[in-house]
Amino acid sequence: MSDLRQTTPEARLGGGHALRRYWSVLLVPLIGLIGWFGSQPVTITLLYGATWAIYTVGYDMFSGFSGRVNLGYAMFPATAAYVTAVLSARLKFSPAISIPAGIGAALLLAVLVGALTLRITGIYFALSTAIIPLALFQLTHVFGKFLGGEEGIWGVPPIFTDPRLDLVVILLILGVSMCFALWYVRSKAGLVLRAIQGGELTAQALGLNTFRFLFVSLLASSMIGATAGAYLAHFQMLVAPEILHIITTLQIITFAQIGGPGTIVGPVVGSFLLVNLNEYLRAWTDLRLFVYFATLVLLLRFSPDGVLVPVARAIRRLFLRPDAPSGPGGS
Amino acid sequence: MSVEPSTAAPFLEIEGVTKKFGGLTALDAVSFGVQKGEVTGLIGPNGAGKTTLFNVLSGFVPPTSGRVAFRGETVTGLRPHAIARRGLARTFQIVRPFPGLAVHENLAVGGLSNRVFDAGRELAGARAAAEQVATRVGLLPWMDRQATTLPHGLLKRLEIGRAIMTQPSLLLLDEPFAGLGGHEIDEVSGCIAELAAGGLTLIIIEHKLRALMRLVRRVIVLNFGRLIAEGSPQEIGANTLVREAYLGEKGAARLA
Repeated sequence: MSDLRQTTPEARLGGGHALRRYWSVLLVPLIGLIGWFGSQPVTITLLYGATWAIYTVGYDMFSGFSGRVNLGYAMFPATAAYVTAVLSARLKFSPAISIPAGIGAALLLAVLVGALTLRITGIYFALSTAIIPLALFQLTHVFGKFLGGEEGIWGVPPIFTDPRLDLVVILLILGVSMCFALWYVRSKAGLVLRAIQGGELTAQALGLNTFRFLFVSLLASSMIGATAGAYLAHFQMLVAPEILHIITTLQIITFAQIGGPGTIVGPVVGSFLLVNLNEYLRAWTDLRLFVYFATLVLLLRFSPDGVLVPVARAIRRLFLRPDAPSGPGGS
Repeated sequence: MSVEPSTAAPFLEIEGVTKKFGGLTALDAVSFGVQKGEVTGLIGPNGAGKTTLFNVLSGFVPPTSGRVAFRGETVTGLRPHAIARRGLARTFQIVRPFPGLAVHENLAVGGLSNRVFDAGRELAGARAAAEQVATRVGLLPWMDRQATTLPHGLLKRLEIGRAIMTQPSLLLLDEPFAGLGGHEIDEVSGCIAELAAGGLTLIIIEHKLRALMRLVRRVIVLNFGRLIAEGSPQEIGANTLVREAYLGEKGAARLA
């Protein structure tokens, strides 16, 4: 099995041509064109696809590289969405205030979560991150009058009436997030995250304050999802508590896993593919989740490096650059 | 019996270090000092507490009691990365390459600061430093290989090279020759001798005594967590306590 992380060393360590590093962001205007000229259902599907893609980029830039599985990732977009919704639907603030405040609230949560959980290693890190959104979910019921309980918060005013404009905004967020994440994971911080995945104690023995790298990376990762969450509240015009369910994060992980975790690009493609697939499987919602999660387990067992990116790399190696050296270590 | 010169304050000072794991005393009031530039061997039977002592020195395990001072500063209680930043580096007995990272990346990680954001200059600097270290430890031809695909002999060199990348002034080597054949031992031994010649202070845990004794002037012997002897290789070879506890007659002959 070829190792997903066996790209050429130039690409890995911050060298390489900028075009080769960022070419995948060209997907974003392409999707924009399809969404702009497509029918309204297509536009809306792509709007949700892009929102999920932003979540998976945020998830992947932390968990895909550090190996710290954040089972509660959805709490960041959820918090941003809730705070934005409360401020705009209940307190009638303008989006210029509600969106930054939502993102700020998610950042504050990430600071708390990071300080609490990042010194916990192994499976207990994943467990503790899974628990926090469950606690927050309870809060939406405890403060049901204000946070809407099971109903969620309705009546968030939309920013645009044309969903195509929402798509443009969310794709801008996606494009910027992808550029940032691609830069970040191939910068020094990304190298340290991958070293932490390989052995956190070993990295500490080399003088690295691994907590600091994980902490900053978690904050950056949370900001990406939070931005999408805050905007989601406005274009969806409501926030429902389901966003805090572990199922939300499990779907993010499924999208990332199908694309190829630790690649940023793979998770984006995975999100768009599966969200579109969702539309075809809309009639059988429950079965759809069953198929997702069964697929996730099978992937974890048989193809832990994902599917799309490894397959794309293999094809490229076979056909496009037959005499280019294969990745270090070969196949 | 001690060869320790009494003039300068020791570079590394270990004072009454005791480590208990439940009812087991892994280290029992161990005290000794190491001078700057000195190369010290640390020997003893399996379970004598050698690696535990390294774990205490590098901050991975807090001592139950006692104190470690490095260059005049108490380092007991500091986190491992803080101790490494002060110039006290270590290798691990069982090699720990970062899987998923190429050899040059493994080395570069050792040369990074704790600033999270970098416009690329620091990474480029670490890559350049990695090339130099790779030349010193003989890893240059394998720089682009995935570290985990290297044979064991090269992994032992990577372990040393990565530690050197932190630019230590004291390096703890935990069994640098373990699992190596005669030729490979000569090569790694040559690397270590060069480091020592460059003024690096070293403490080396090793069971391959013949190879160890070529490198060190002074040996410390642990047994059941206690320091039972300290002296030149000749003195240690002649020590009856050490013969009984660890060397046997054959081993003693190797030190002669």
